[in-house]
Amino acid sequence: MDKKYINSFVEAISQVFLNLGFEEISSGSICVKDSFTCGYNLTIIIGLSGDIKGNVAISMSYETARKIVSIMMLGMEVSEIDEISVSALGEMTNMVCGQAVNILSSSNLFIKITPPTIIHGEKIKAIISQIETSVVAINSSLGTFELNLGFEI
Amino acid sequence: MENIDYIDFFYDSIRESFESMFDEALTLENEASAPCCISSRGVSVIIGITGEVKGRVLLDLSLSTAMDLAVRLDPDLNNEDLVLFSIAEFCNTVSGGAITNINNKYRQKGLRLSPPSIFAGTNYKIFSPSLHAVLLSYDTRFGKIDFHIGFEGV
Repeated sequence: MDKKYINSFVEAISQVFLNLGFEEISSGSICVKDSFTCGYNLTIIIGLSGDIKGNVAISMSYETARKIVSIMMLGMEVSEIDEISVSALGEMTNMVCGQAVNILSSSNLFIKITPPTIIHGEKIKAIISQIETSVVAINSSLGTFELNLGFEI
Repeated sequence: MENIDYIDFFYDSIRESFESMFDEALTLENEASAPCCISSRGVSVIIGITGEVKGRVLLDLSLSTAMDLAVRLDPDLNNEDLVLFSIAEFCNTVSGGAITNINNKYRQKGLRLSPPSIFAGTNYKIFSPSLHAVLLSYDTRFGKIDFHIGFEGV
């Protein structure tokens, strides 16, 4: 996968997190998989159509999810991942994908995004592309999470 | 905005796709408002919808039903990934048929699909926070299959 696409999503995460008041993040190495077994309990997925067709999945642990939701809710303590927490995580992923689409539009790529879906449980096998999935580990003070990009290009 | 019942376009597409792919009849067992959180039966395929309205098609069934359906397509199939791809293709055919009919009737809608994403496991839940969804539960001789079809603000 062209690194331009991966970098656009990493930059979008960085910008959205900064706007939400999170500390700076850093991205780790990129690896490519046919499918991935969710090493984390919670995955938020958004589909793409238009000049890029594919899926974007952000995976994280419950602990990281709780910390993110707590910051989004202005420091309110979040003890469990309930419906409100899930909505907040969906909205965060919506913002990331929206920002990445905005960045990619400067390269004349026009993309539309679908509503978010959140999957949580244990040992979930995920196939977000029938070609390949690029996986980037994102490190933050709230914990590590995974950005999974499966594009059919 | 026109008041369109998008779900209407899925009844025929589900029945026609199922009958043409698996050469079997299916019966709509139940239709209800879908909850925003569901416990999966074991295999789920998610296809997003973009355009004038946004939405999502979710197909959920057990792994055993998925395997029986896939073997119906290819009796020699014994690879779990290929089973999952077969079910994703069924969901894609259903969604593509319904969306094509919507676009043919209401050209300004410009609906498009995202590629299918597939999930499999023994204990997981699926949330779709922003959608008003309908659950269409079907009984087949391979087992139960559920379609959760939802749109934003419809």
